[in-house]
Amino acid sequence: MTPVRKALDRWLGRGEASITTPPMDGAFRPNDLLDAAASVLQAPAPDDLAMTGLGLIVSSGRSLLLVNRSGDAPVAVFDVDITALAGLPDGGAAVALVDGRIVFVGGRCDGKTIEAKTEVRCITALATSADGALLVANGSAARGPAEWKRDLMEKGASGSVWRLEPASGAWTQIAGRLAYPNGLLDNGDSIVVSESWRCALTRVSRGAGGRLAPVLEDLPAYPSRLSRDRDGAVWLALFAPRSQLVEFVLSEDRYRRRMIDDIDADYWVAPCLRSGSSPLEPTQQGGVKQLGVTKPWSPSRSYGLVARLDGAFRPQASLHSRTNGRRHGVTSCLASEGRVYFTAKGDGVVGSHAYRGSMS
Amino acid sequence: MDNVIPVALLVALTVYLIWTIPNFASLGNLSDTSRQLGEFGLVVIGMTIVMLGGGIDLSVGSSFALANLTALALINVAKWPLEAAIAATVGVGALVGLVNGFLIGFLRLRAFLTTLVMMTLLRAIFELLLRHYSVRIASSDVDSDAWNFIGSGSILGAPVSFVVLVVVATVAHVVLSRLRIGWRITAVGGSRRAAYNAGIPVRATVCLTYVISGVLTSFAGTLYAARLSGAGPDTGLGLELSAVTAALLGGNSIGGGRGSVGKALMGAIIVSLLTNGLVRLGLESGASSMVVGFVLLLAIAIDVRWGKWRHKLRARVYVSPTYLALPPAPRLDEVSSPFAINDRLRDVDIIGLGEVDGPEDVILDEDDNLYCSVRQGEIIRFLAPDHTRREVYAHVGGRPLGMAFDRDGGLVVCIAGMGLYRVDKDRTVHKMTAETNRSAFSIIDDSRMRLADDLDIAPDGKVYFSEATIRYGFEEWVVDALEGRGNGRILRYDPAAGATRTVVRNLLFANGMCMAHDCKSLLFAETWGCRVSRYWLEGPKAGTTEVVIPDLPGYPDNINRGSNGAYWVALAGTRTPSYDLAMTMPAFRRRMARRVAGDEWLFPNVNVGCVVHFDGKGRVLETLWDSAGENHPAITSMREHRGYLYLGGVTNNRIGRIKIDGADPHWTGPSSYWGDRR
Repeated sequence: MTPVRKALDRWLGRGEASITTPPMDGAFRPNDLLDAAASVLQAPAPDDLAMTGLGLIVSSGRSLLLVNRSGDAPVAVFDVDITALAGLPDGGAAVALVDGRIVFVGGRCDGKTIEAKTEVRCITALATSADGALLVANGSAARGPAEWKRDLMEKGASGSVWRLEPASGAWTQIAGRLAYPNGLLDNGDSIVVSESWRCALTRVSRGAGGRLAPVLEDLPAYPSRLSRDRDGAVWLALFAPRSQLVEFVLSEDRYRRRMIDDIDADYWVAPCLRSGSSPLEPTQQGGVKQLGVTKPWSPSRSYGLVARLDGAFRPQASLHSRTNGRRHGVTSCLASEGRVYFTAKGDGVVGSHAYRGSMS
Repeated sequence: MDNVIPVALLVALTVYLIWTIPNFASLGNLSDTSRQLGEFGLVVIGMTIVMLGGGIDLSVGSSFALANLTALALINVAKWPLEAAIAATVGVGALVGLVNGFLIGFLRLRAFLTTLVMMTLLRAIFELLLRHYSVRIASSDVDSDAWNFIGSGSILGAPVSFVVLVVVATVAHVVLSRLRIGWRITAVGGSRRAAYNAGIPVRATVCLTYVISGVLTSFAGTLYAARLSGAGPDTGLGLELSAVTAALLGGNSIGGGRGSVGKALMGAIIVSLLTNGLVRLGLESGASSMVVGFVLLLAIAIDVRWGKWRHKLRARVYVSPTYLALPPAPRLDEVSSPFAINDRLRDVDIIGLGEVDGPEDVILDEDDNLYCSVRQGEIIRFLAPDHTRREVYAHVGGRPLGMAFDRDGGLVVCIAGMGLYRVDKDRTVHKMTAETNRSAFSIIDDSRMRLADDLDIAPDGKVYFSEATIRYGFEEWVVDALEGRGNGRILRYDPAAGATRTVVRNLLFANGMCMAHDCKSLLFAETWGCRVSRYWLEGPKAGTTEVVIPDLPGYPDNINRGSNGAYWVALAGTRTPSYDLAMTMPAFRRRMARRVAGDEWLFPNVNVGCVVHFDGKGRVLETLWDSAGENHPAITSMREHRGYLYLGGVTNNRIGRIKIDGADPHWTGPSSYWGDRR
């Protein structure tokens, strides 16, 4: 009965095939806190944050910058783009590059490079493990980090999580078949991974061949990097909103195929870090400017969202930059000394917002 | 669509009866059935008219019996002349109807209870009179050929009563569907309050429906009298049940406001076939009534459910996207392209910021006053010379869109939902036209104008104007975009003859209209087709159209004249690869319309402003952009005036003004049209 019902549902667009997205409500109730946050650093494409002995650093393109001293020269500049960062316990940083190499900056291993592994060419996130190893999220087996949109529209689920011994350079795969793991957090006996295309956080157990279990599902946006603050709260960056239209296009195989084949990715019906920058981009009926105003609630392909979860990964509060905001495409966030820092990659800003247990 | 169920029922029933009953379709039986049908049909038509007006008439059975008795008493016993007797009988029926109508229409009693009481009362009167007259009626004999002819004669092979029915049905159909009183009855039945607000005399109209029902019923009673020449206690018994069943089964709504004579006839035929067939199948009379009762229950159930479902069903099948492949879009990022993106419209002078709501069209008069048509149904005027003082020039209602000045300085306006109107110089508003000839094979009535969009005026005073789509109103233009079907047309209003004709059909959202500088042709924009075309008014190609600019990078709106023999066209949005692709996939769009909320629908990019300058041959001279839509997203109109260009937008809250290099600083629109013709 089930396959028949599934086919019927698909045909009629109901049941599991109905086009719905979770509402932004409860802990995700919209506000303008990201837009109200102070701008700390302007950079072309600030992507990942990490706390090191030098202070808070951010990656932007090929450079590694200090967040709170914007005038200073870059901490390091590489020959290719940086795709992920992790602060190490010894004050140094691990830097993943777009070609798959991992380079250590500062700390005991300063200058050390671990060569790329063939299967791991799309490093989206790094995290340190309590035992000194490095956890590596590999978004996709087929596509590089720059092609994330394609991986989403092809419904990719070929990501994996790896464990890397910095000393020996030995790689061990912990879990596979993940839908674009885009953030990592060491959680004691397990690892919590944000699976972007599933809009969910997933728990990967360390032993027993990497068993997967859902932690938080039905997020209203695509999740990205995770971090934990001193109080044990978890901070989650969500880089683009889910939309009915995108979910619908995902269910329309023929249109999707032709769109991927024939149209430039910038003009796809797909989420993005910053929308509205070209006349060739799609818009939606509700997104039409009225009386010279972009309505904050109108549907958009880009959004800014940071969520604060409790120790059990339950959403507690969130910071937003709505459709009319200028802090879209938040790819990472990190709390430090009463402030939460975030990278609005879509709008080239690192911002910070004060919080004390709660946000106002 | 409402007729599908009754027609199917009728066909199925006929086939079944012919199949099961021998000689059912024989001439004798049919003639017999149709003679009874003649009487029954009249009653059903009366019932339908009452139901259409929102009521119900349960007294028809008793009224029928009373009429039968009256006719027989007057003719057989009192020996009145035939004409007088029939007139008196019908008069009695009318009186009964009038009592019903007075009680229900004017005293506003409940129709159901009132006519129920009336049924009992009339039945009592009938039985009293019957006791007096039955013997005398039975014993007397009438020697009138005319009376016998009515009872058993034929005209061209059809029984008299059937011919009467056909004549009455035809007249009733014309009255209900074409005359004012018919529309009023339907309006009252559809919504009493709305009808009252529209100025319809609701009470008199309701009263009238009962009088009509009484007249038709008594006439049917007369025919019955002529046929059987007898009266019994069971005359007309249960007739109200059959009539209600027939009216409902034909597809007339019990709630009022929806129905037709055709449906009444269909229902009448079904019920007579059914009762006739049941008798011939050998069912006892009680069982036959039971079947009719069940059918009535079924009909009520269908009526109620159908009333709830039809809107949903209609919404599902009404939107029908079609395949639309546009030519390859011109590139916007190449500097050599005439359409190359720039930001020349970003720094404009702004007029009336926040004081106008959606100036779809802007126009200037010879004295430099600026007019715009706004959402509140007004024409707003900004006074020369600085356009800082604002006044309501005229309130026209509806959603005014395109405007043009005529020879006398009157402002002719296209108003969505209303038609073509004219605001004279003394600010009085006149309707010019609101309907055109109906297309021969159109299912929906396309004679009324739903979305008059833009216009221009020929030197001889004829007004050419566009109707963007015949399938949707102004608020639903997005759905028309989703369809991508040629639903638009160009109409011509001839003020001398007072007539409107459709001149071009099947246009993809006919929008901007502009008389060419030489007045030999008309330029028009087809928004979803992303093209500008020309309709020849004179010369060897008169009456034909040709494409002038086939591949605009966006969706053209109004077209207007510029100086130096050039033209301007506003692009309300840009083509996007994703939408172009969707336009070639109708099934994708249909599913999107059903499964995705309207606000989430894929759309072309209308958050961009663009104006294209082109010459008479369709060569693009320059393109002005506001690529981020900072000041002017969705530009729908622009007018050149003394070296400046004025910009309007249907969703904007401001009017823009920008100096045009190389424009003739003395050129104005009114002088270009009427300068040497006034």
